[in-house]
Amino acid sequence: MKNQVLLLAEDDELFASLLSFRFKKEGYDVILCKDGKEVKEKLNNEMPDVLVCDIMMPYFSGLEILDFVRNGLKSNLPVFIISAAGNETNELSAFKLGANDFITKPINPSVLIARITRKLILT
Amino acid sequence: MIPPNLKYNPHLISAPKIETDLLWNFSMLCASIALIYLIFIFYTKRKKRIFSQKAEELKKKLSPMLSEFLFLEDDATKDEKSNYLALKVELRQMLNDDFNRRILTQVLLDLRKDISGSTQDLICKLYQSLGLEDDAYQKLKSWRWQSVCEGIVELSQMKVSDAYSFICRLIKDRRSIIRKQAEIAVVTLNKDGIIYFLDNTKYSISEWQQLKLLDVLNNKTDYNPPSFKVWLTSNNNHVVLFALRLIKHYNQNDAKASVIELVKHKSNQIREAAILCIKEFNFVEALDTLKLVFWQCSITVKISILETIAHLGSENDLEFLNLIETKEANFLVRNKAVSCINSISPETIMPFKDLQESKHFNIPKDISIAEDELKAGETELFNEISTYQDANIEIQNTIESKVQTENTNTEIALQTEKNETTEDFIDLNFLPIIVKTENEEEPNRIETPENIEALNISEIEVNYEIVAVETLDTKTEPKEVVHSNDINIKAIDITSLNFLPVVVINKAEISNEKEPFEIEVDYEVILPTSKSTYTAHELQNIEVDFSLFEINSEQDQPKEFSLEEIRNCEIFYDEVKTIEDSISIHVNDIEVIDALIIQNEPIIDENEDLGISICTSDSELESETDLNFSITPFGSHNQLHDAQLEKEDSTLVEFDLPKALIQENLLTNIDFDTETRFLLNNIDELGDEREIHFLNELRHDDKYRLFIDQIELLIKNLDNVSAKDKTKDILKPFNVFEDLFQHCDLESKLILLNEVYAIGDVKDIDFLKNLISVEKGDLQKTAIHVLNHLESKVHSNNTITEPQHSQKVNEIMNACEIECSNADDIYDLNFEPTDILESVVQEEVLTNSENNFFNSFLGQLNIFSSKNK
Repeated sequence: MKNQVLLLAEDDELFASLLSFRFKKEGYDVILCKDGKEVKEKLNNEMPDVLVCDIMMPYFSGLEILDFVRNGLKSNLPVFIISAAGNETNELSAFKLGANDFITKPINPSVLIARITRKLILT
Repeated sequence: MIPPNLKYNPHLISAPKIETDLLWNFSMLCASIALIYLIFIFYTKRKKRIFSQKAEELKKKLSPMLSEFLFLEDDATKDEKSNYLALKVELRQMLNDDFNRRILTQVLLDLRKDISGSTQDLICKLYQSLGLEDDAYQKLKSWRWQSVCEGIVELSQMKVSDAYSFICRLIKDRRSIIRKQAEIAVVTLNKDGIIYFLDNTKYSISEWQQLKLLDVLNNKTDYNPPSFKVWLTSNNNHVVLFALRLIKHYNQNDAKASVIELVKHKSNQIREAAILCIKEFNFVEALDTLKLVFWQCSITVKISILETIAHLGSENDLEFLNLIETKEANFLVRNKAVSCINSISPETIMPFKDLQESKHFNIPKDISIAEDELKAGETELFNEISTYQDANIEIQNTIESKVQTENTNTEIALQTEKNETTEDFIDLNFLPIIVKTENEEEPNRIETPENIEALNISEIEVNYEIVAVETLDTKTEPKEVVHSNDINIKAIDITSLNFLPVVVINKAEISNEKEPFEIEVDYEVILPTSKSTYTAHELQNIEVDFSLFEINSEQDQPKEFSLEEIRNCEIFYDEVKTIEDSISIHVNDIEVIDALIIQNEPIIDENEDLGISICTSDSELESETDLNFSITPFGSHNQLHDAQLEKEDSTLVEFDLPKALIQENLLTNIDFDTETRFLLNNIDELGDEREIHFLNELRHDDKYRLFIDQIELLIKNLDNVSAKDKTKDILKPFNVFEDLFQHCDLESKLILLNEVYAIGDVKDIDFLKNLISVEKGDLQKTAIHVLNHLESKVHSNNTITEPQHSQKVNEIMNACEIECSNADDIYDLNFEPTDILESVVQEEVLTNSENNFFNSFLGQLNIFSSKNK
């Protein structure tokens, strides 16, 4: 059976590496992107099964990427937004733009994987 | 043009002479300084860039390693585990470099911020296991405040609980920044840290710091806050203030007195915090104190007090508030007082303009108003107090007459007092008093035990039947004999079941004195079944039906009786209703003693110590002598024997044997038996194989023949125990290396094997053999090597056999010219050394001391000095 493809957009290399390792262990094929520009390129080339995106990134923020996915690409791709600043405005904006979930740092990797898996099972 | 008469002085306008060389030199100096500065900047920048590049590379290298460490699962494959071990060794090697240690610490701290849950705990564990905490401890010793703070933060974030004691000392540091960091760390690291902090801090606690500390406490899981009222008496005002805030935060309302007292504190902040607590916890008792301190308070505190009075106050406080309204100079306070009055009694603020008097609202005579309409009308007529007062009286009278006509036993207390009515307040006396009479009670109500439980005890109805009442010349009047099926206790107004009939036996019948154990006592007790336990008061109202009470007497019965007779005495009882097994009813709690009275004076005289106290008269009954027995589970047996009474806990009637009636020889026998049984029980519980000999003696003693079975059983048991103890000795010896091997990595295992090589003995051979069979690679090879070494070592030790020993001894003895003594002369020892022996010993001592001396440092110095000479 083919593994699910997960696009992880995170500028913090260390954290991204840690999450990527964990996702791989759970059986996902992980594509790692460091900035918004790279994410857009990847999304244009190949649509992953899930997008896990940090809100604060160079070039394009997570919300901009989300907007791009929903309005630019017209895709229903499950998008999980990660944010260090879990303020109300960000959270509401993310959900308005069509985020499937909003997770604030610090993140429990096991919980994040459980959420993603549940979403993928439902879809 | 210059006028001709004006003389021009050339010195005034010409520039001073400066040597060009000097200028050149100065310019060169400046240029060189600039150059040096630029070089320094470039060098530093480059160095920093290189450092950051190196750090980035290292981070990239470390991140997969850390991921491996953090997410290694228990069910990992062998390859993963071996990879993990290899990584660990590599990481340990990396940590020898300070730079690497610093970067790794930084990486772990960064990761900790972003990760939560079990992974975060793993990060903290990894930090500690790699020994990175040592660097943080070093930082604590630094003289630079920033290093100390870094160390504190590092240790607290990585949850190094061992660092608590080190950081505690820093709470009293003179540098505030270190102190503040230490305070947060202390509260973070230990659940009791807040206690230590509040106890020991002598400095101020800033508002920000208080918020930070509160945040730390809030983030603690399963935190049980201490009682902060303890610190309300602290000498440090900041501690008191913080304690008050914590009390309010954690809703600790058990410090009423202290909080009220703190309203009198000099500090306005503390006053205000105390007032907030009073308001929060509704301490109405504080109102007087608040009024007392009001006039000496600042405006903010005054406003707080008024807010609290508005929240807690009543109409009694209106006078005080009116006083404030008239006397207070500050507008804000006056305004607050008015708002306070308004909130306590809004009607006082109502306008009186254009309001007519009550007399203007008379009811026209041609209109008759029905009672119900009148009631409705009364509610609407706000100012017509007199009208609805009349109506009230009328309604009350109606109810009274109703109650009387129904002729029930219920007493209805009607409130006939007329409340003081004013124009401002609504009197609710006009409302009808609704009384539920007996006849109106729920018709289908079933008196289940649950209902009884829920009822007020005074409301339980007692149904009872009188079976037999026989009076005799008692000192008190016999109780009233009542035949009734339904009697409401409320009507009778009793506090106990004294109304129950006293059941006594005619004296003529009693005169036939009888042994207590021959008395046949038949009784019936009906108790409500319920899972709940009953209090003594509740039991007073339990439905009790008692039917018969008989005394069968035999006149010529001797007073002495044997143990057999006691055993054969019969107690009959009829089970009427099954109750819960767990219920134990003490008879002295139930006031049905009447049913158990036995008129038997002579026996009482002789048996004052009887477990069952027997009342001779009603007066004794009234004095309620304690009956030392209880009725425990009913419904299990019909006839109980003595043996059952002894063995089972669920005995029906428990009582002491009448000592005075037991023969002396019987007593001594019983004593002996009891003592022996006690002794054997003790041996059974505490004894070991050393008791076997003693038990054997007992077994052969005729006195203990009755216990021979028990003794033999004991001997058998103790034999088994001693055999088990012996097998314990045969068990495999504990191997310290085996235990350590289970929890260490490859590197440590190799180190441990080296230790085995150096200090191992026979006990380690089995362990090494096991290790060789299980492990592979370097570890196996090393283990084989160590095993070979140990085996050869053990072999060489064993080869020093007795003949060799004796040979050595003989050589020494020959050297000393000592002859082997005969067995008979063994005690003829001569302690005087021979000359030869002395010389041999002296020689040995000298050689030993010389060797030691030359080996020592001082000896070498001596040789060096002698060579120089």
